[in-house]
Amino acid sequence: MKKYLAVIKTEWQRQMTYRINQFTFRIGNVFDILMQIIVWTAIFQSTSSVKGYNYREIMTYIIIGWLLTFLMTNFGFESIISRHVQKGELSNFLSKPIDYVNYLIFLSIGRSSFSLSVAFLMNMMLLLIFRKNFIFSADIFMWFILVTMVLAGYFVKLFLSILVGFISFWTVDNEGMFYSIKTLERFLGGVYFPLNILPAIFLKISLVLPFVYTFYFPAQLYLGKISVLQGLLGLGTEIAWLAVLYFAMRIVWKLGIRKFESVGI
Amino acid sequence: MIKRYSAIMKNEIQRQFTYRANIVAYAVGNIAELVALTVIWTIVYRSIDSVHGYTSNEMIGYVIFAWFFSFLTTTYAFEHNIARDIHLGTLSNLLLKPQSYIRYVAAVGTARISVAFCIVLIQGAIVFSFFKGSLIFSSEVSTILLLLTMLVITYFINLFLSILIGFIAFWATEIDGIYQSLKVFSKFMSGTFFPIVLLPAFLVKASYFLPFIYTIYIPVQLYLGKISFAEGLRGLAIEILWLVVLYGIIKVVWRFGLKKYESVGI
Repeated sequence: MKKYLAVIKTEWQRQMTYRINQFTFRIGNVFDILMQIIVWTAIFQSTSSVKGYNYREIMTYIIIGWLLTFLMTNFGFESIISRHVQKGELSNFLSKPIDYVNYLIFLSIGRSSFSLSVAFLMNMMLLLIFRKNFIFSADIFMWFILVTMVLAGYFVKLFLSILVGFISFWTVDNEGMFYSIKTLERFLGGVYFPLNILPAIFLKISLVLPFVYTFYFPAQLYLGKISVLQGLLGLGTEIAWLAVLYFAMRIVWKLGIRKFESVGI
Repeated sequence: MIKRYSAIMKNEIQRQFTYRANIVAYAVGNIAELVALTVIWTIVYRSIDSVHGYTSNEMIGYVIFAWFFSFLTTTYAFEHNIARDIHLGTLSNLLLKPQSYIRYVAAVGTARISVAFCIVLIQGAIVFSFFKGSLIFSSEVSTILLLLTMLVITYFINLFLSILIGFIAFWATEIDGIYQSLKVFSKFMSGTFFPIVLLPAFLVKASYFLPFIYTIYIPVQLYLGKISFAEGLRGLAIEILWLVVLYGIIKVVWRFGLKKYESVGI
């Protein structure tokens, strides 16, 4: 355990070195959020409700959704794995007395905890600016499920990223695939719009997939559009996915390492 | 001179064909972005007739053409290639050759998008045939010619911006954050996702002083017939002006950057 804590610590130091880079990333994020706020504000100037959402609800959906996303993001972790595999850096890790998959998990925790605090602060500022249109909730049970969901969501996303990163064992140029997978994840997660504005069948399908539990589902839960009981059910599905993804990751790792040729060393 | 740079372009096109699966993989994400936008607007227009003067068909037309134009003119993160040349010291090799680095990267960047460009054309044709009922197609030759000229300039503005951001690598070791933020900002201010008039009035005014609006919003408006031919010509003139300004900045930054360059990594 101690050696993995050292991984977190060194990663923090590395992140501190590139603190300006961290900050510039967050500026882009603010524009991402503003883009959605502006579009929906323009829409609600000529109507008072879209598919059962009023203005305050949609604003809360966007702000809380993004806040939760930042808490769960791993900032393109698949590219790091891709680099390890393609430059042969992986060989270094293989010769050390650590488990590479565990190493990745701790590296990511160290890597995102720093960015996370910056992102969290920026989102709080946004929340403060839009507080008039933000619905606050004080339901303890809801908060409990929400927090557990965010925690599980972080690892669901991380395991997905690691799995996607492992594709590098078999292919060389991956950016196109990474980009497409990310966009699809966002789409199916309800980042662009609440999924229930689509025909019901889409929501039913996406409830079986893991992506919805990283944006749409927790945001709906927060808005009270999903009951606490349904929330628990969602949490169960999310945790089941977590287990499935963990085993998938272990299996793919085993297959990938057989394919690994240590090119680039 | 032409021959030399055409050889560079030929090499790069061959390289692109090597990674053809990667290029095709981009297409899935491209489409998802467009589907998200069309879904939102289709749903919204069920409960209202017009948003800021845009009818349903106009809005769908707007997002589809803006999507199409922006993917035709993107440089696909070319700044990373330039940053890599600088960080890994590859730049030293290129400096030794009897060529201008800026012309060299312009040639590589242009050849680099050629395969992706053709795929976007095919994708566009599919999308257009899917939405043909609600799209407005313009067939006026003068408008199309003006539009094509604008898009060519748009590409070069994007390319020059990529080169400039790449040059930041002379001074900084991490450019990802700046790259990412500028990309989102330029999409925001160019009207790639929605007509710029949806923005608060002061931002709309500010946008006319930046190059981005002339790269997507004005061409789309011209094509949709929302602005006159004369206004389109004026837009083109300002776009060209920006191109010249950016070129000048590149030359200056290049000179400063090269003084700072330490050939690390070689």
